[in-house]
Amino acid sequence: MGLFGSIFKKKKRIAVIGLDGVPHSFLLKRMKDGTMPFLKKLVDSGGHFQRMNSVIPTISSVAWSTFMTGKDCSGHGIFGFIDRHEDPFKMYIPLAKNMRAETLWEYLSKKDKRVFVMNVPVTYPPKKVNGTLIAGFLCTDINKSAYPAKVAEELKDLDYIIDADAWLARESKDKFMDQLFKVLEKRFEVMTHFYKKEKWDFFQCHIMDTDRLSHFFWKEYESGSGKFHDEFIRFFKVIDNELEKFSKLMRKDDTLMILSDHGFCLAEKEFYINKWLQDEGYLKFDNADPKNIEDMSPDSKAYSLIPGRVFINLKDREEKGSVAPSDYEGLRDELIQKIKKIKDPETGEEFIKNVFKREEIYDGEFIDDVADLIVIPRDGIDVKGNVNKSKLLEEGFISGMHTYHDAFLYLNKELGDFKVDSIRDCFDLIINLLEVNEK
Amino acid sequence: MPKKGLTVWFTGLSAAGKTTIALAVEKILQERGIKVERLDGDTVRQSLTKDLGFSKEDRDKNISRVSFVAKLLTRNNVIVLASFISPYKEERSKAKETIGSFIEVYVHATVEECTKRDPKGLYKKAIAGEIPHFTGVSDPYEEPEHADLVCHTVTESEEESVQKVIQFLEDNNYIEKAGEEVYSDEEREKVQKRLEDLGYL
Ligand SMILES: [Zn+2]
Repeated sequence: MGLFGSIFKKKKRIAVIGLDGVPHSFLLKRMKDGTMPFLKKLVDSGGHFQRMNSVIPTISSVAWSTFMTGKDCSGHGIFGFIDRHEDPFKMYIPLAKNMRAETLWEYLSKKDKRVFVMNVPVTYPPKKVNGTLIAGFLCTDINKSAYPAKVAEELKDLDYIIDADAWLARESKDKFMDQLFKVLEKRFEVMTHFYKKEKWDFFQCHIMDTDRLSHFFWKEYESGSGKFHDEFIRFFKVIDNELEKFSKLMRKDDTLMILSDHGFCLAEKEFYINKWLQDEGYLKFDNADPKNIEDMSPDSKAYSLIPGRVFINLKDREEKGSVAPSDYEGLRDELIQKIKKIKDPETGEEFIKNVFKREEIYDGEFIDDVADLIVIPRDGIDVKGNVNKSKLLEEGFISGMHTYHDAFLYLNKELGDFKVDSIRDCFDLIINLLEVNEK
Repeated sequence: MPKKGLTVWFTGLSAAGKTTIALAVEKILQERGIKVERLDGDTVRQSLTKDLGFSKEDRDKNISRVSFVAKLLTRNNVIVLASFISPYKEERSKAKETIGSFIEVYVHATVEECTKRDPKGLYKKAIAGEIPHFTGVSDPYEEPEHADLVCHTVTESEEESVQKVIQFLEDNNYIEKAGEEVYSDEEREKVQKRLEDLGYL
């Protein structure tokens, strides 16, 4: 370090690497079995490594929206990858423009911090920041993927790939696995390109590819052997190696944060709750072959969106609403009672852990837009929103599902008095570390 | 759907153009499917505050009742367009305090211009001494110093003023921009398919 470096007080900087859906428990095993020696070295040489909770519902779009706003879904307004507008009734895909709270990078921009953000979920279309923002996988056209727009040219020159093609997994798992490695390596390459080039106080790159890998290969991973098991493990060797290369680029006093937004477990069965609602007479369709909830009949009393968000078809709120407000509370109680007792017809097992009324778990400004009931199954049962299923439960093609309790957080510093219970606490942690917590 | 509730408070002299602007804004918001409610001095005084006159005390009561209603609507994510002469700074800041999510729009036109416009013949009567407590003639109007927006209805067209208000609501994220479809049909299909392939739909 030169003379000038020692005279001036260094500006605080923080770099964040998001590893989507990587479980804390999984990393413990990989550090032990030698797959991730660098991460082990990081953790062993001080700093902070912990398990943390995700969000409800446990979906990447909701979890990262919570990370970037410090609010739960009732405070930021992103409730899933699909949402409904109640009147006129319409399904839509929530995007960055639907985010109703200030994001971390907007906040930091206001505080004159320069930011670089790459590939974080729910950042499309890219909003203006003091710095650069490259949108995540809801972007289909690389030309529209970045703020400032001209960054897209650079991305094209670098052959950047926004996301792996999940359809490929159904065509050929071999090809999909190859593509995942390619996308991952490209991601780190492009990240490094910008790391060297950009000026920043806050840097974040998101690795979505671990989530994709886990969704399609968790079963193979858990089997403990075989080609895809070995590839699964090798994926994390690559990540460990990339983390090592990346950390060598960092300044000694920079803060490094690595985290995931949820854990993963084996998806034993998918549970089609709309089928149950239909069987019980709560949900009705006018046509024999409904495509989605938009085809629901006005006689319906309740319907569900993935995962386990149950809405009462309330009069004066929903376009086709028919449940009188005076029946709302009674119906919610009735549904809670019944849903908790749903059994797997094949095994007789009750698999719903909990059913919450929204006000029991949320207190944000937009709580009126949250589902009326939130159904929480045990790990291993994935609640889906399909409307055209003939069975209540069934093994699906996708073998990995999210877990609430098994996300992780690593920081190359001690946390001190700061406590992190869930991903929601990361917002405050970051603005504290950057010393811009005076709102 | 508005993203969050808000009261847009139009203040200014009688005949300055408050109601005209509010009506046009209301129409645009309704067309966009946004929940909107108008509270207007003239109509409110025929119902909610029928019992009140125009003394300072009664004006205060008028505004505090109106603010109460605006607060309830705003809390329920409605965009409230309130047009009231509301000549006193104090009453406006009280309204703001009560309602919370609140912006002040000063609809500005000079007394001379308003007297010329005089659509209801009120200025004529006031100048002749037939209406006591008439703002701008026999009662003061305290101009807002820090209005969030000023519509100069003498120099701007009605359309320009209305556009200003809509623009403000869009820029500050109270409502979504019109026609801001992010995806083309083709792109939407692509994203939908991707989410389906991932089992997210
Ligand atoms: Zn995720």
